[in-house]
Amino acid sequence: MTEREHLPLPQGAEIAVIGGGPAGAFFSIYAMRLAKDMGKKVRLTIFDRKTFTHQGPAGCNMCAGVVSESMVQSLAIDGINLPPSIVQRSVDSYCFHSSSGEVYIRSPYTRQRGIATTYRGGGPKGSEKTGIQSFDEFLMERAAKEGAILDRQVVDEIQLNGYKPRLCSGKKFVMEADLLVGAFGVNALTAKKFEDLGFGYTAPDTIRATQAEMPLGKDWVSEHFGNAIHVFLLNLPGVKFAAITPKGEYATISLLGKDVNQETVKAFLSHPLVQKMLPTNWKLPERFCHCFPKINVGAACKPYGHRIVIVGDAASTRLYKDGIGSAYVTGKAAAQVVSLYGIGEGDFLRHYSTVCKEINRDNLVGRFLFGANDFICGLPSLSKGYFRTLQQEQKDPSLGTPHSDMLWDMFTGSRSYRDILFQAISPRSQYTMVRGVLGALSESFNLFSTALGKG
Amino acid sequence: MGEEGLLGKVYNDGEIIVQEGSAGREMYVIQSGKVQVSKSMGSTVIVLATLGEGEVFGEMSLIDSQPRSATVRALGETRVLTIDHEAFLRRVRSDPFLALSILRQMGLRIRELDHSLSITLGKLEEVQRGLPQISKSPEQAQRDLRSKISQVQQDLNRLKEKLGSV
Repeated sequence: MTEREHLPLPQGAEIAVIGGGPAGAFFSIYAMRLAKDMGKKVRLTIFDRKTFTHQGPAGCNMCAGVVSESMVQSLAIDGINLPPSIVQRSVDSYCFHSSSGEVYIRSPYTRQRGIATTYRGGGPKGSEKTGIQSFDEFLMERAAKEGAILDRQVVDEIQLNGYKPRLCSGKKFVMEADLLVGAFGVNALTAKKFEDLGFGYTAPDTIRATQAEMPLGKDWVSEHFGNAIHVFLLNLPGVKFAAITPKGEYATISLLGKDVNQETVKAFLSHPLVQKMLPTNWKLPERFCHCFPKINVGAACKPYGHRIVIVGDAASTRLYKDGIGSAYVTGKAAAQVVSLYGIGEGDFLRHYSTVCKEINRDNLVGRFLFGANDFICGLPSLSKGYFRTLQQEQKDPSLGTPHSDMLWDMFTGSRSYRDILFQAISPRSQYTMVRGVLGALSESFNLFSTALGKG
Repeated sequence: MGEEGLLGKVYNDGEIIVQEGSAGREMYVIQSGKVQVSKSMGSTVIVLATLGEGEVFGEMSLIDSQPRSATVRALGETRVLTIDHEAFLRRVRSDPFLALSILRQMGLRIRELDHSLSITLGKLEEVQRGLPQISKSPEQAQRDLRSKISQVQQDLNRLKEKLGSV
């Protein structure tokens, strides 16, 4: 077997991680832990020029900052408990708003505040006095505690022509790494550098998203948004997903779609269903903290090479959801492969590519589910029936809550899209759905008949 | 940051989180506050341990399906994160290292117990060795014996606490 096929991580290995976001931090935490377990000494350096304690986009990795229920639990099992200084608001429910009504759905599993909303950086611009602590910084500190070294140099040149990946910064040699880990996300130019290395990596397809911070004040946010993430199924042109996440003094708007921009944010805010949650005549300030990050909607091609592995959303992520969760899954999986199998191209092909492929395959089912959800919400009668079913389930959970559970799992990432699909096509789910739709149709018919009678 | 940033579920002072003898497959991680672990022995209730922030209980229930071995109640207002059994099993399928984390915690407790047990047995042996001395100097031997028995009693109580927290 050649070195390319299988190469165990050597004793005293130099590992270079490009990017200090959650993917880089998770890889580092677990790689250091496993190396220690296996009695291996490694020197792991995380390269990131960003300081996550800064306010605004300069210190932020630009995402909604929602840590899913399943990830909060997985982290707790691994001994990583999120302190209240990191969690801006712990969440126990999702509230779905549509023209057919609104429905609160609580966690079907534990009935607790199990979802964490965080800021990736030091908080929105102008939030200096609120004492917000960064989620990314917290993870970096955990990685440092495990023994990782943080280097603020910008690695602007990577060479693969030698025996090992060679890293340079400003024409100066930085290190020769036994293993190079790409955790650069989809918003950095670094992806191009990795594509140019010629080992076959192609960055995933992306679409634009918007994150905008509404400074509504803690009292307003608590009273009107509570402990719920609010999802708006509004069929706005060009918008695939719209949500408002409560976070301390602010509420974060997240819009996902084709060519979303400031106008899209204004159109969303002027929708009557959104307006009713805001103070009367409230308008976004002239200058507000916002960004237009890219979101991964496809799969990267070959996120590994000989002595190279790509983690996080630069590799694969759950469709539209849970980028932090994917950073955890891929970062941890890569760390396990590196420690238990090796750093050869064959090691990653056999043991790491399968993890990414699993996410990618599941996303195909996810596309279908989101399409079906859009279709249902686009047809008034169907949408009304759907919401009626959800409302009835929440009113009397003792009769079972299959549709609520499916929606919860779809939006929180608690189960794979494949599992959700199997649940959706079960006879029981179909029966309750048909019953709800027929109820809504009969209601519409009665209203129509009454109107005709009056006429 | 205040209460709004705390994860899990709030239990008020004295509220029971886990009832001895009941069925339950969840594990718990204390986010804030303290809990008291106790066990009924006939008509008396023995306090086995007090656990605080970051500590876990009920981890064995994630693995086995035995009834709860002790009662856990909140000491003051306490927030506890529940680890759901079914979701845990699903996650272990794709990430077996999660189970290893639980096993590691259980392993640590077993090691602590082994250590405590060996110390206690050592002291019992000392007591046994001291028994023949009673006939030579009854008063001194009685004093020594009393002190050693009291030490062993304390060790046994500590051991019970550790057993309870498993």
